[in-house]
Amino acid sequence: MLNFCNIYLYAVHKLQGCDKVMDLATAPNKTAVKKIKKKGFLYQLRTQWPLFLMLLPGVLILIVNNYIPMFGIVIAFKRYRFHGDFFTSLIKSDWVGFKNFEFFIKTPYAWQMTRNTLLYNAVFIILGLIIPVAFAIMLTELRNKRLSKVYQSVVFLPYFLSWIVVSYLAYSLLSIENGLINTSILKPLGVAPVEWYSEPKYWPFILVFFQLWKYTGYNIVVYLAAITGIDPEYYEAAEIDGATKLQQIWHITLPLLKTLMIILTLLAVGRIFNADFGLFYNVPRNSGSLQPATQVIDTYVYSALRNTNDIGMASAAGTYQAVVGCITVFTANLIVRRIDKESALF
Amino acid sequence: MLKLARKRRQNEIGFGANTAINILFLAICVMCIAPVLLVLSISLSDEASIRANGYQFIPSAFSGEAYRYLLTAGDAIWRAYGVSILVTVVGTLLSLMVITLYAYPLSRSSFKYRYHFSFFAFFTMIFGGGLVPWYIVYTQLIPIKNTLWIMIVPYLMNTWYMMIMRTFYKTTVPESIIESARIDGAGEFRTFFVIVLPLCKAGLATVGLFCTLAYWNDFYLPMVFVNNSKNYNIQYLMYQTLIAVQNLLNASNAISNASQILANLPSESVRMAIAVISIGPIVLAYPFFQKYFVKGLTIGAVKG
Amino acid sequence: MRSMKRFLCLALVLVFAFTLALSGCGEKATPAADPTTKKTDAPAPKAEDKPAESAVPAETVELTMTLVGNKQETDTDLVMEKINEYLADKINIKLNLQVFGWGDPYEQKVNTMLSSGEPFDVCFTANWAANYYKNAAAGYFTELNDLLAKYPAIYEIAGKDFVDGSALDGINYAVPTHKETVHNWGYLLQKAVVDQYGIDISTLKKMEDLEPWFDKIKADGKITPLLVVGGDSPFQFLDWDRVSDDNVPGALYSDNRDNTIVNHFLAPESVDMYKKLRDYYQKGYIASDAATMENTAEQMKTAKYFAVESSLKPGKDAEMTGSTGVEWVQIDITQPVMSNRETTGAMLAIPAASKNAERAFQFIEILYTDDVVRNLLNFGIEGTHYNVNADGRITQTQEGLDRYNMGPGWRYGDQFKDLLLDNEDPNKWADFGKYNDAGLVLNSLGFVYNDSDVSTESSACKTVTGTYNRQLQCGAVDVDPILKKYEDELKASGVDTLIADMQTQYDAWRAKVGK
Repeated sequence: MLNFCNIYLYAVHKLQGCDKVMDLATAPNKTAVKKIKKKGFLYQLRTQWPLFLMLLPGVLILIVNNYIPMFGIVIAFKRYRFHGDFFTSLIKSDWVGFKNFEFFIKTPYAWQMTRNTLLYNAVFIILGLIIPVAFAIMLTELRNKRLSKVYQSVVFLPYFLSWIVVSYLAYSLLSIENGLINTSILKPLGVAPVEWYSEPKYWPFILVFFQLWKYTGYNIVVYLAAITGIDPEYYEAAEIDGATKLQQIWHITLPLLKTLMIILTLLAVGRIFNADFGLFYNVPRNSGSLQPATQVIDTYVYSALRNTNDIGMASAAGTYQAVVGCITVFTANLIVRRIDKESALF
Repeated sequence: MLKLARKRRQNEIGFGANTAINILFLAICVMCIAPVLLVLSISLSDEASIRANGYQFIPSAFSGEAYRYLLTAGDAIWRAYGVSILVTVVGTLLSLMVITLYAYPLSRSSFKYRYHFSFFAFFTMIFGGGLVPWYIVYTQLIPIKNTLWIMIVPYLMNTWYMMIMRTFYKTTVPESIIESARIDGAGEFRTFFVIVLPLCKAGLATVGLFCTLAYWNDFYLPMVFVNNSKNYNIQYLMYQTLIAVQNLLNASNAISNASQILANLPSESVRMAIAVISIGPIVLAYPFFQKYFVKGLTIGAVKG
Repeated sequence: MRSMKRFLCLALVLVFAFTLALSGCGEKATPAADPTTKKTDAPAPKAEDKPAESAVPAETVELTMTLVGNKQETDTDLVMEKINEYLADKINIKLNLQVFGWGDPYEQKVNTMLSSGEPFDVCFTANWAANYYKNAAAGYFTELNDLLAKYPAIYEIAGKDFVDGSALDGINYAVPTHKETVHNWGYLLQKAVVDQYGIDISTLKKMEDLEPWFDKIKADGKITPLLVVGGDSPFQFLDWDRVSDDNVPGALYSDNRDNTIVNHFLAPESVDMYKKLRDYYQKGYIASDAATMENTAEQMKTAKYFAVESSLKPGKDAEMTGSTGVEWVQIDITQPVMSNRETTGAMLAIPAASKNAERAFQFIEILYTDDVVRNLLNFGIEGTHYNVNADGRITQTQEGLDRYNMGPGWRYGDQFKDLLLDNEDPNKWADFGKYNDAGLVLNSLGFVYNDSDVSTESSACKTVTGTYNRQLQCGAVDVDPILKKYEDELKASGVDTLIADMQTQYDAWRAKVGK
């Protein structure tokens, strides 16, 4: 589940983006729309029943898996007490307004976790843009195409590993007693071993490193795919005009990647309040002394709720993030639309 | 001809730059592979040598003990391994089916309700009802909790992959082909399976790879829904051993037996060995998908 | 063409079948249909048959019991079969045991089952597992008072005071394991080192007594004098009588000196202890990576340490010698006391959603009265999983260690009925009895705090203490600078409100019970 964060993140916007693009590209003019509208849903159902049938499995799963559980939102506003079974409990429990939301506002960590979440995500967004684009361009420029394929495959490897496995990898490097860095690098150099898991100051770098480590390969492939899609004629023409390689990159590749870069960035901005739980919880091994550097909204909510079994608060946390997420997506989109209407998602 | 060849070479980067990029990528590749190799080597190290020398790339004393333990005492691990493979294969196939079927009507401009159904899928990504109602659906409405289905069903429909697939149809399958098939008298289903899908192999591979990863790396569904330890998957098993150590420490004030319990948990090399075998299949599956992968992303995600 | 269409429709129907028609198919429908797989979560048949007290109930009911442990042991089904066979003509149940991993796995599973109202029958809970206080207060557990009155064996065996120690406002929601009912703290010392330095352990009575030895051992430089890992720190010697969970501030002094609840993490004694530990750390008594070490037992196995703080009971040293392969001797630092830590340290509850509460209770009673069931549950099948030695103690077979290694029976019922392992003192249970009698009964015994009015403050404080405790308790940080921050953050989290609420409830409780 944690692994999809990245993908989901793109999904939100992409989806809306696609819709809009489709809207512009294929929407028939207004009169035509009206004409079709006269023929109602039943008519459509009769004439296009195979298409509806195709939708059916997905619709059923969405209803069962996503829509039915949505009634649970009311729990966020109740003080849940158990009375025999879930539904009776839900009805009989008292309304408490926004009391369930207090726990993540009334904490000395409110600022710290918000700051961490936003800053980390900001860094991830910026580096996650620059590094993959640069690497993707380098890969396409390599003379030996077969070697380029090999690199591409290898850097993609970390994307396959779950955060749990990554936390094992990190531990094998950073463990204070046995870790490779302490025993095989620092010790021979005569440097005192570093207590990685209790010194918060190193963790911004470690976390950023592992985030990039895991996702850069994937992002390289995405941008590589986009570069592959660029018409080679552009470059040929540029070359005839005497443009250097760097000029070609600057004036052809980057401008053509712009839309994709903006879309992906927007997607990430929309999720700026949601941290990657797997990274922030598993990789630092939930070490208390690292909290100043590793506490993010998601890990705070988790640790605050883990020992309370208070589903009212849990529900409140979910609702809060969903609402904030919606707001950030729309705001980010609004800003982009002001600057460059073409690149906006919707 | 000769001129052309020369020209192409001219549009390549210089030798120096090429070498620099190669070196850079070699370094990055080492960075990507090294930690995995380290874990592999720890899993092959003798416990005593780990205590004496720490983790090393080349173990000072080799030992297959961890794997021997997994082979003999690790029933649960192999079982979990089997569950993971089964769930991943069945899940990926079914999920591909649901996703490709759902995406197809949405790619058809003649389908009037395509926006409605797009939004219907999209909305689920920004809003959810929380754990307990979700849990109740799968325990009371559709009681598949504890079975292998529970690790498959919730991930069958994935809106993002569905969107990739939809874009893929739109860009690779010209509406005219579908139209002419219709004129030839082919029904929607026949058109879809016989004409559309074969054109979209790259898209299927891309989405298939994503689905495979999603199913293989999941530990959340078993954590929530599976009580029967026979149906645990390998990721969840790893999660359990990882988390047990941390939590026992927190509880050690309260349980006077904590240190005794800790003594019975799998040792370092065994934990690393489990990590190694959990990576195996996914790495082996990758080349199979890779052929189509970049192409799939190019068309599906980028031109959207 | 037509057949093609039909075929495709069929394929689609299969897809739906899979979302819809699975109801009731249960595990039979799973691709890996396993003949030995038991149907685990089917609601047990309605208990319209109120079993007559003496007669064996005619109808077999299925009871599901959840325990926290290392893992579901491979041979569980085998052992359950034996137990069910044995119980068939007693209470006629089909027991279904589910063991979930320590920590999150157990919490996550049991809490979700409880809050969704899923029927199951016996649930392990404690002050450190499955949120006993919270869940009892929220109505997730069945009230047991009537059942305790109807089936008096548990009161007789474990003692009414002890059992009622976990009651909330006079209502019993769970029954505690009858095991050691008191606790004390001390050191385990490595025997080889004690012998090598010729230390007379009878002279070691308090922390300071060990310091000269720490000095010598440190000076020799071969091993580290003191092992500190996580909560296993000499901080425990203060033995705070905690009001709520481990990491929640608020405790009484454990010598009955007064009835004032203090924030024990910042009390002068604690601060002095932090400073002492800081001093130990700087002198090199404590390893520099103490703050992040993970597994006390793993460290003890290395034989690289002289002393480790530990919760003690008779025979603890032998127990640890057995499980770590290094020989230890124990010395007491604190006096034994009986506190809520024991009464709520390991309990069984019956979830409110259970359909067979009475039968579940009868089964729980059997865990107190019947050593056959207990030993089956603890050690498996005689001859397969363990063998009985001439002296009556038992040795686990390799098969037992690999396939049914549940660990000792402190999680349920009456532990005094258990067989002893070959590394345990033959007089263990007699010593336990003496040890239990020696304990000082704390004033607060039986007071159960309900934090539902200040749950925001409580969980906020918990995240703060989670950040600082470990560092302070192993001496890894300078005390004074961090203390100020610690105090401020706790204040900001509402620690004063929390402690005031504790005091109010405590005073009200005292007035009621007349202490």
